[in-house]
Amino acid sequence: MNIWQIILISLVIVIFLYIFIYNKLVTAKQKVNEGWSDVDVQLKRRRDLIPNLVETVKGYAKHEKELLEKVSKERAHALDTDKNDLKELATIESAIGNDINSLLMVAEAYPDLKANESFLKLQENLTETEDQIASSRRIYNANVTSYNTLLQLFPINIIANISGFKESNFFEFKDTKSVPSAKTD
Amino acid sequence: MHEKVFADPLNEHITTSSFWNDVQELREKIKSYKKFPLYKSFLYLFLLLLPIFAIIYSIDKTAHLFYIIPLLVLGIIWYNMYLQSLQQEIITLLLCERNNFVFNPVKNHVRALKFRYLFPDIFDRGDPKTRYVDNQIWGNGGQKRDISFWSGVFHYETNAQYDENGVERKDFMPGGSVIEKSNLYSLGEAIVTRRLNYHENSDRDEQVFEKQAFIFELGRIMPTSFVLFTHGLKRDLTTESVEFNQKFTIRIHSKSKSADAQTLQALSPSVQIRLVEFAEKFSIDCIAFQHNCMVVLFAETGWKTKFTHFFKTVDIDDRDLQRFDELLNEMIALPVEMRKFLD
Repeated sequence: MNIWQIILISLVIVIFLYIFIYNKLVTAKQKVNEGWSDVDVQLKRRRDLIPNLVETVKGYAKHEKELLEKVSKERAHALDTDKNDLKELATIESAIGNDINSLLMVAEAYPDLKANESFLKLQENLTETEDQIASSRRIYNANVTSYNTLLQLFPINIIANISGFKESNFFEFKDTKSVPSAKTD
Repeated sequence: MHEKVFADPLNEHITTSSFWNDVQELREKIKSYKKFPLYKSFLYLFLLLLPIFAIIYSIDKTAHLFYIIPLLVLGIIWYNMYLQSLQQEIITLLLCERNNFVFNPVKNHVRALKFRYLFPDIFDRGDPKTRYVDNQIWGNGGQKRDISFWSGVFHYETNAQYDENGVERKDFMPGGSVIEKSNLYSLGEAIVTRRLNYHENSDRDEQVFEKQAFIFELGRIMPTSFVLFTHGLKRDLTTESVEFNQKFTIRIHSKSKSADAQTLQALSPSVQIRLVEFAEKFSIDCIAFQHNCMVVLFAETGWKTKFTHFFKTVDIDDRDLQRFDELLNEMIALPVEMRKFLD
């Protein structure tokens, strides 16, 4: 076997290795994107529930005007925020989560509101959505961990650098209180 | 007075007194063990054997090497195996009596055969002659005790066999698909079951398996049937979760695109997380969602006692009862969570 044959075989091996690792990275990145789209769907679902919640609470708890305005503003802010800025989005979404919880807590002081059927339905939907957000977040963050770990492994890190793969950010909420569950007694 | 009737996946008429005679012998044993605990009988047996061994030893000084020690070890192993099996039956009976479930400890080959037709992905394993179910339970679970379930220990043996190409297969089953009509949980609707087209699973050759199965009535018909295996088969579908895909392999009965979408709809993020957590906590073989049933097959026994000391007291510890309830609730939570996005 002459030197050219060895070089050719090595080159073929390197090309195949590159293709294999590149596809692996693309698959992992795709899973991160799929995970994110799930989170996004659930966040959108929660944002869609806010106007109804605000309207329902407004009819009974007029003194909570400040809180209601705050939630509406935060919702608008979340809609305007760049979806690639996960840190900013996480901060806003955790604030929205906390405010929704505060709104639901407010209901405790208004028995009529607490007994309102559409409010109870909203509360149930929000509890479910919160559960789905938490689950999607866990899936997304697990996918990010798996992808970021892949990027650090040798020789994947070399190919990742050449091909422009970058680490993904985690989506972490800060101090989110749990949504009180709907009670129909 | 009317007897309580229990739902059965095979549509048999099961009531509280269905297996009264089959458990009578066990009840007698419980009574006698309560009067005379097992550790005492062990102690008396040892005290009785001690002078006999002493006499043998006095006659032949090397007897301990060739007779006494091997005989003692073999005796202890045999007796321990017998007790383990008896303990499982007695504890399951006590569990059923405390929960108002129905229990049948007797081996049943016919029911294993029927299960094979209904759920071929789960019960079509090993040599057909070796398959049977025993320690069967019929009961109700969930917070309102409104979800009926069946549980049993599925026994089978695998042999290395050869397929039509002469390739050695584990757990090879000739034939391909099995088609059978039957009713599940008395819904009155006929279903057609096909075995997924695979011939291998992770079971080792020439082995005896005992796997606990649970079948739950879902209360609604699944839009599509699928099985989640925890071992490496060719997968039909992947979800967005890397963690879930590492734990489970999804196999779908129907090959249509809508079946893929319906399966993914059923496997919402929270269901996936629950399934992953469940598989982390328990050793699972597979979970099937088929027609109006969920079938969970454990890799071995799903529920084991932790606090019951059968040797000292012939009764089931309350904490073990609670653990069984928790296991049932964790399984029931899976379809409950799934239903939120199917309704």
